[in-house]
This record gives sequence, C-alpha cells and structure tokens, in this order.
Amino acid sequence: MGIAHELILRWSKVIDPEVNIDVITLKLIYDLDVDDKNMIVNFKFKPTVPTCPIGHQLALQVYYEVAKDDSIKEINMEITEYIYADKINILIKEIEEERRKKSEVKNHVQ
Amino acid sequence: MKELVVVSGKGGTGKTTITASFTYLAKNKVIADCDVDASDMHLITAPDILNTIPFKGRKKAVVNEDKCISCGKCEPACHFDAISDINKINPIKCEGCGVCDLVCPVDAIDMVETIAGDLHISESRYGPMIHARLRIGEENSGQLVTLVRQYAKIMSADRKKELIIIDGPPGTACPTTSAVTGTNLAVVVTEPTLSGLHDLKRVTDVIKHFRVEPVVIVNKYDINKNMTDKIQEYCNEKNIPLLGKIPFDKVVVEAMVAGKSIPEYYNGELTIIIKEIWEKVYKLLTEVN
Repeated sequence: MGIAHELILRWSKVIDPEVNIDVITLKLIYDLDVDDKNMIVNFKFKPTVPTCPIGHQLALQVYYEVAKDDSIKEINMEITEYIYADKINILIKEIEEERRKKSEVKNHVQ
Repeated sequence: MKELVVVSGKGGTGKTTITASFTYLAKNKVIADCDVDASDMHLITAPDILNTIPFKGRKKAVVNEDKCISCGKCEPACHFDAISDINKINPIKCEGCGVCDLVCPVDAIDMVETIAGDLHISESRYGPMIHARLRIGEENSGQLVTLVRQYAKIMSADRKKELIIIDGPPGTACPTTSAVTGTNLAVVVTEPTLSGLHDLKRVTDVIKHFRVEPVVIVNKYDINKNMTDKIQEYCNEKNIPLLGKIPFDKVVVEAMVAGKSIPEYYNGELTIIIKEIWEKVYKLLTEVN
C-alpha cells in the first residue's frame, strides 16, 4: 500500500462533526501529490465553508494524520477557501518546521 | 447506484413539487427526504411508516438537583441564556456547549443524550422512502441528513434499486452540505426573482465546492421573463446547463391540494414539460460517474 492510499485511509477517519461525514467523502482534500522516493507529501485542504467554526480544528487534525508517520520527511499543506487561511497556514508551517527539526535530531542520534 | 439531489438555495421555489414529479417518473428508485427541518414530501407520497428510529443529537445540560448548591455560577456563564433561574435549564435554548458543566464547582451538571428527531423507514405508492423530522428547536440537522442518506443507501442496496432521489434542504448551510456531498448530480430549482437568482449563485458555488455538477431548472419562468433571461445569462456565463423552464400553472396548486405529484394528477402540457426535463436529467445521470 502506497503512502497516498495510507493517507486517504487515515483522512477517512477525520470527521466534520456538524455533518458527520469524513473529509475524503466531502472532497475537502485535493491536489494530493506524494513523492514516495523523497517522502514528501504536498496537498491542499479546504473546510466545508469559508466561515467554518471548526476550520482550525479540522485543518490540524488533517495535518496530524500525516505528521504521525515519522517516515514522512516533509509535509507541505496549504489551507484554502477559509477566512483564517493565512493564520492557520502560518501555524501549521511552524508546527511542521518544529517536527522536521525533531526528526533530524532523532535521525542524528540514531 | 446513482444519487440525484434536488436543492434550491432559496426556499419555496418548487423544489419538493419537482422532486415529487421526478420520483413519480423515475423507475427503480428510493426516495430520501433530506429537508429534515421542514420535511413535506410525505404530504404527496403519503407513506406508510414501517419503522421509526430515534435520532440522538448533541448532548444537553441537565441539573442534578441532589448535587446543586445554587451558587449561580452557571447562569452568567451560559452564552445562550438557557439558564434563567439558578438551577433551571431551558432545553430548547441549551446548545449543549458544556460551559455550565465546566464552571460548576460541585459537578452538578450532567451532559445527557437527547432525542433530537426521528427517522422513518417507509413504503409509499412511489416506492420505498426514508424521511425524518427534526424536533422543535433542535440542532444538528446536517447529521440527520447524513443519517437519512445512509439509510437510503442501505435500502437501495437491499431492494436492488438503481437510483436515490434526494429532496434537499433550502439554503447553503450544513444540511445542504450533507445532502449534496458525494451525489452524482445536483438539480437546482430556482424562480425568476432577485432572491431566486442571488441564492442560485450561492448554492451553485456550494455544489461546485463539493465537486458535484449542478444543472438548473427555472420554475414559474413566465412570471418575470426579464429575470429568467438573467438566470439564463448567469448559467451561460458559468457553463451550467439550464435544463428547462416550467411555466406558472394553477394546476400545480390543484395537484398539491389533491396530495399528488403533477404527472400523477394531470396529463397536460405541464406534465409534458416536466417529463422532458426528467429525461434530460436521467440522461445526464447515466453519463456521470
């Protein structure tokens, strides 16, 4: 099973609680591009509406479903069509940088 | 199995009237009334309810009077003014946010599951039908719509039906999201009014957001031909197929009063127009994935 397939399975468990439907069925994740060789994952995420009250929460859940796989070297996630897209994009970039640094340290130690 | 959803953006455009006509004309289908806040398809299909399943919505706060010390901390904490007296919570106003539970110093608030609506599995003269009704003042209609669709899919597989026809809710909020997501085609019924055009634009944006293809029907097109032209222009500009225009006709009211869909009640010009539109819809449905 490839990384893309694995991610789709994981994202299928991220549920928008207001409609009780997962983000894959809702087609909220798009432009998924996985570089299996270099372990880089690129994708975009949009909430159901630009004013989604749980847009942050859902975006972070989607991100962490990827981030929990230590073998993935780089995650480039972009949140679109959301009124707080700029803020959450900055936040996720910071979290991702922190994750990468920790991962590098871990690799050096090993 | 294909899923067709009929939505409108603006309420009162004739969405259920047209959906009922489609369900009469369609063969081998399951009907799903997803307008759970104000369902009315049953007025035409007159279903026999075979089974009713309670729908549990969001949890609600209830005061445990044995533990409550009447400190009053919960009252100002409630942003929905659901606590008007020290230990009385209005269940209609309670949104189940749980803030009162957090501020209570003696853990005297219990968050309990409540029945927010009922889902019905029915049989009608038009075929099997899944419908539901949200109770007064209840929330989570998006979840109930999802449940209706899930039961419709089970029913469709069980009865080997090839099509689910969904009567969607008006508006563009969560219930519409639930009704549109993952369908094969979305029919938007609009009317030639300013608000009809305005809400048509909004709902087609929502439909496209979920990567479903919209098509448009203008109901009562001849009550304002100028506005119908504007709807046509908008559809052309956005490359949205306008499948047909239905004229105003008093026979629609007569059919509703008789509790019948238009093709069932009347075999005249209006029925011919609706049949032509249905054939176009069905052809598109067979073509899409």
